Amino acid sequence: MTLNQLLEGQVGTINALETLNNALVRQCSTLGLIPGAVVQVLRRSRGKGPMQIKCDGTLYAIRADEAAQIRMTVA
Amino acid sequence: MKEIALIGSPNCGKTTLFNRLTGTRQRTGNWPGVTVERKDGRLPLPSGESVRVVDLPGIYSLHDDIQGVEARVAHTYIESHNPELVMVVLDATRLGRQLSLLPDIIATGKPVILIVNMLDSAEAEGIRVDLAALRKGTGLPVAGVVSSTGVGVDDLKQQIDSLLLSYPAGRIDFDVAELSKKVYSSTGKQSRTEKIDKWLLHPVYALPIFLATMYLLFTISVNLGAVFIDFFDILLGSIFVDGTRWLTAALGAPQWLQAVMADGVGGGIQLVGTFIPVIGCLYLCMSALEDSGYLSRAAFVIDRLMAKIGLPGQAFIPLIIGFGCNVPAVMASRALGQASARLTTIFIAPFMSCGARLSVYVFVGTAFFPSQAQNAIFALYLLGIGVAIVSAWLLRRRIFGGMVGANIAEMPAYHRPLVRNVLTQTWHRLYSFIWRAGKRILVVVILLNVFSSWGTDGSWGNQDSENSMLSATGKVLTPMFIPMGVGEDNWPATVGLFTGLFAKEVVVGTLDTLYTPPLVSEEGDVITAPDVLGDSLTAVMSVWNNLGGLAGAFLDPLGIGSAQEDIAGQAPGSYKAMQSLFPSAWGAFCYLVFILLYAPCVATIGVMQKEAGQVWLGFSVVWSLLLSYWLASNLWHLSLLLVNPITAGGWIVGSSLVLYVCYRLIMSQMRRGIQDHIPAINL
Repeated sequence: MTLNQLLEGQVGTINALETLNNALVRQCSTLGLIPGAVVQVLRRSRGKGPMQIKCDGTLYAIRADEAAQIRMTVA
Repeated sequence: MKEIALIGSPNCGKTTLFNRLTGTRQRTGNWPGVTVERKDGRLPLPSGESVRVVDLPGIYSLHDDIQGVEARVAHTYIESHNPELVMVVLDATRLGRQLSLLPDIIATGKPVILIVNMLDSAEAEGIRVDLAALRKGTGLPVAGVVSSTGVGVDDLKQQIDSLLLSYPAGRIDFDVAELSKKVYSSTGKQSRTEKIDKWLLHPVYALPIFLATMYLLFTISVNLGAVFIDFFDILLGSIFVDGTRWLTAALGAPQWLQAVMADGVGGGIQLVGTFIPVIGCLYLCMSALEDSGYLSRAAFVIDRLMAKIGLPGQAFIPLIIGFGCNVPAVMASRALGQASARLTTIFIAPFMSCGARLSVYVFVGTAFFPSQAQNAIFALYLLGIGVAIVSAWLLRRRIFGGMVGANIAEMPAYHRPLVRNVLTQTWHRLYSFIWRAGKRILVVVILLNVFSSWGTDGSWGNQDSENSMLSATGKVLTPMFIPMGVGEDNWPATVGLFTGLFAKEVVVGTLDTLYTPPLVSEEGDVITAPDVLGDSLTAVMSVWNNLGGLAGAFLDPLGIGSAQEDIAGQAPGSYKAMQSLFPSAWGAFCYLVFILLYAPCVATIGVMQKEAGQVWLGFSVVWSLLLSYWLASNLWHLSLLLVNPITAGGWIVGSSLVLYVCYRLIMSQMRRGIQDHIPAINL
C-alpha cells in the first residue's frame, strides 16, 4: 500500500521510499518522513491534488504522485 | 564585536526571537553570491556589552546535499566565522522532531545553547515539555522562552552573558529518538491548527475562502497603495526634479548637467518613490498573511492548477500580485524554495498585465474602439496569461525537464500575526527595493532621460518633442514596426515604446504629447524655485481625493471602469493625430499587444536582475521581445491575409520560422547559461 491510497484519518507507518527521484528521497529524510515514521492522512483532495499529512506533530502538504512513491504499512 | 548565531528549522519562531532580541537594530543583505537573505542585528546584553546576532537561514539539516544553498550558507558560516555561541531555536510543540537538527550542529564543535520556543502554545495544546530532562540528556545549556510575548527573554540574555564569559564543559552523547521520548510527549489530541484547517481546507469552502483572501490581498494592497502614489509623485517631483533643476540653474551649471541631475537623478528618485506605497502595502498584507500561516494553505488549495504548468502552488501568489505591479511579483517569488520554480515564476511574472499597462490600453482603446474597449482589454489580459502559461510550459519541458523536484512542504501552525514581525519584515523588503533595486532603476532612468532631453541640435530640455535624440531614434526605427500595424509616419508610437520602459503608464503621456500639435514654444522658460510647501499641500490633498475613490475599487479591483472614466472626461486633442497615423483600429490593437509583452519596465528589470541575475534577465527580455514582435506582427498580417494573401502568408510563415530558430537558439543558450551562471542552484 502506498501513502496516496490511505484514506482520510488513516494512520500508517512508512515502510520504504520506492523512487529514483533523489530530490524526493532527500526531502523526505530531511523532514523525517523516513522508514519507521508514523504518518496520519488528514486530508485528501480529488484526483491528483495534494494531500495533507501529519508526522511527528508537524503538518505537511505532499502531492499525490509523490505520495504514491512512499510505501506504507497500515496497522 | 563578538558574533553569535541563531539557527533553527523553518517555522520554529526563530525570526520572532531575532526581532525580539535585536529590535530595530537590524541590517539585512544577501549572503555572498546567493539570493538567500542575510540578517544581523545588535543585541545589548545586561552586562553592558553588545554582541552581533546573525540570523541563519531556516534549515532542517546542515548537509548541503540535502537542503542546498540555505544549508551551505549556514554550514559555511558556522565553520568559517567562528561564532562565539550558536543558539539553536526549537519549537516546543514539535520538540521531538526538532531535535534531529542537533547532532549536526553539535558536530561542528561550537558552543551551543538550546532555546525552546513557543512554550505557551505547547501548554495550550497539552503538550508536555521537560526542559530539565533536556538539559540532563544533552549536557547543554537550555533556555525556555515565548518569543511572541517576551517571556523568558531577559533570562535568556543573562544566560548568554554568562555563557560568553565561560562556556561549561560536560556535553553528553545522546540518541535523538531516546532523548525525544524523555523530553516530549504530545497528547495526540487535535491541535488548534488542525481545527482551523477543517474550515480553511474544507473540500467545499476552501476555494471560496482562498479566492476571497486573494481578492482582498490584491484589492487592499494595490488600491490602498495607489492612494498614496500621487503623494510621492508630487512631493518627490517637487523636491528632487524641480528643486534640483532650480538649484543647478542657480549655481550656473551647464544645461547638460541640469538635465542629468534634475531629469536623470531626480526623475529616477521620483520614479522609485512612486513604487513605494504599492510595494509597501503589498508587503504589509503579504507579511501578515505569511506570519499567520495561511500562505501555505493558499498554496495547498491552488496546487492542482499550478501543477499543470509545472509550478508549485506557492507560485500562484507572485503571479496574482503581478496584475497589480510586476515589481513586487518578481520580489515575492523569492519565497519559492526550488530554484527552477523561482526562475520560472520570475520569467513569466512580467506577462501578467500590470495596472500601469491598463492606462495605455484605455488611452489607445478609447480612441480606436470605444464600444469594444472592455472586450479588447479583457482579451489582452487573457493573452498575457496565455503567453505566461505557454512560456512556463516550454521552460519546464526544455530547461527544467530533467530536474525532478519534490513538492513536500511544511504547513506551519496558525499564529496571530505579530505587528512587530510584520512591520520589520515589510521594512526590510521595502528597504531592499529602495536601495538595491532603486540603484539599478536610477541608472536606466538617467540614460533614458538624457537621451530624451538631448536634442539633435545639441540643445537640452527637449523631452516629448520632435527634436530630441529619442524622437530621432524613434523615426529611424519606425520602419521596424510597420509589420505590426504601426503606420509609416507614426514615429510617436515608436518613441512611446522607449519611454514605456520607464514605466508603462508613461506611454500615455508620451503619446498624448507627441500626437498633440505643438501650440506654444516653451523655450526660454524661466526656471523658478519649486513651491515645495504648496506642492506638499497638493500631495496631501491627493491622498484625500484618492481615498474617496477607494470604495469603488472593491467592486472594480483592476480599475478598468475608473480608468475609462478618466479618459472619457478628457477627450484628448491628440486622438485625431493618433487615429490618422495608425492604419486601422486593428493596427492599434496589435500595437497594444506589443505594449503588453515587449519588455518589462525598468523597475521590474531592476528587481529581475537582482533576484535572478543578468543572464536570466537577458533571456527573459530577448524572449519577450521576440515573442511580442512575432505575435503583434502576425496578428496584423492575419488581417491582411484577404487583401494581400501572398505577402501576409509569407510573413506569417517566415516570421514563425525565424521565431522557431531563435527559440531553439535561446533554449540551448539558456541551458548552458543555467549550468554556468547559476551554480548556486537550489533544486
